Amino acid sequence: MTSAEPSTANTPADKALCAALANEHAVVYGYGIVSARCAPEVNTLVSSALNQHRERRDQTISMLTGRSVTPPVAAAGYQLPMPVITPADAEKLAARMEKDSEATWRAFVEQAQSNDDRTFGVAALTQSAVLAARWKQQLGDWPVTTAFPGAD
Amino acid sequence: MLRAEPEFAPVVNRRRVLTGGIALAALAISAPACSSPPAPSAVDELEEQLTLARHDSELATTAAAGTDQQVGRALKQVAAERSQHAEALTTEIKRLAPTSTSSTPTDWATTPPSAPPPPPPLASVVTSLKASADSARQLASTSSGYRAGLLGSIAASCTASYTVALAFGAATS
Repeated sequence: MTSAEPSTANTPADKALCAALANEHAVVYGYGIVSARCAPEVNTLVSSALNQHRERRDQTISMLTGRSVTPPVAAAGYQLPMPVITPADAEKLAARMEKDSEATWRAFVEQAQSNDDRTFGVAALTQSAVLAARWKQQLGDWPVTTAFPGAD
Repeated sequence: MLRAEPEFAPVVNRRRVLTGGIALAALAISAPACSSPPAPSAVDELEEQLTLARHDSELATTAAAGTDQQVGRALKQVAAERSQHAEALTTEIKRLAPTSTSSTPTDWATTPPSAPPPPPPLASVVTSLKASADSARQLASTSSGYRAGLLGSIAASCTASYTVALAFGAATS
């Protein structure tokens, strides 16, 4: 690992993994906003979701480093897709971030070249699908699930 | 994805990824003219997933009849999503094996329930979805490309259904 010079992602799998990591950075940032704006009743859900994404981010960085690919770093800040003022805004942002995560992880699953990578990607896709459903349930949206997470 | 500021360009481009997949799919379709047909095992594995999807859909539909409105609505949603899975799997099977004599959805949808048994409990739908999610997850890890993504989405969908949408009381314990 030390002998190989870290490089930019070249393979479709590495590019997809970098894209997924860039999204995880954004999601971890976004959950900070969600945490600040959400109602106290959803604190547990926020903490659980944030921890899952932090863990996923760190695992993804390790995977990329292990492939001698330079992991993308987090941006200094991110633009929110909409104003997040109320608790409901915070829940909508969370649901949207999980949907974005589903898409990046499904894209990685499609590009991955090993069983381990696909297993990792499917686990991430599944976690985000479950979290998206929890946020939609919290918002009172219906239905809370979709047939093809990451592709619909 | 949240947009980075000031100049952190997102690398996500799902459309491009998909375009690549479509191009490969086109190759796969034209290839059989001069090569051996796809391994039957891939089709068999998808047929197995198709059977699970249809079974779950029917089970959820019949279970909905014996529940209150709120649970029934959730079960009908599960039935609809598992039907969508069955459709997507059928399409993929036909793409892999255009000459396959695999049964079409009409073969099973029109089968009349002769002596309707009592509706299965919610817990049986949850158990069935768990098994289906595990099966799709395992097959996703050994598949590749679009098929891996499709199976991954199916596993994620089933998991979200039984852990969130069907989580009424102790049914999902």
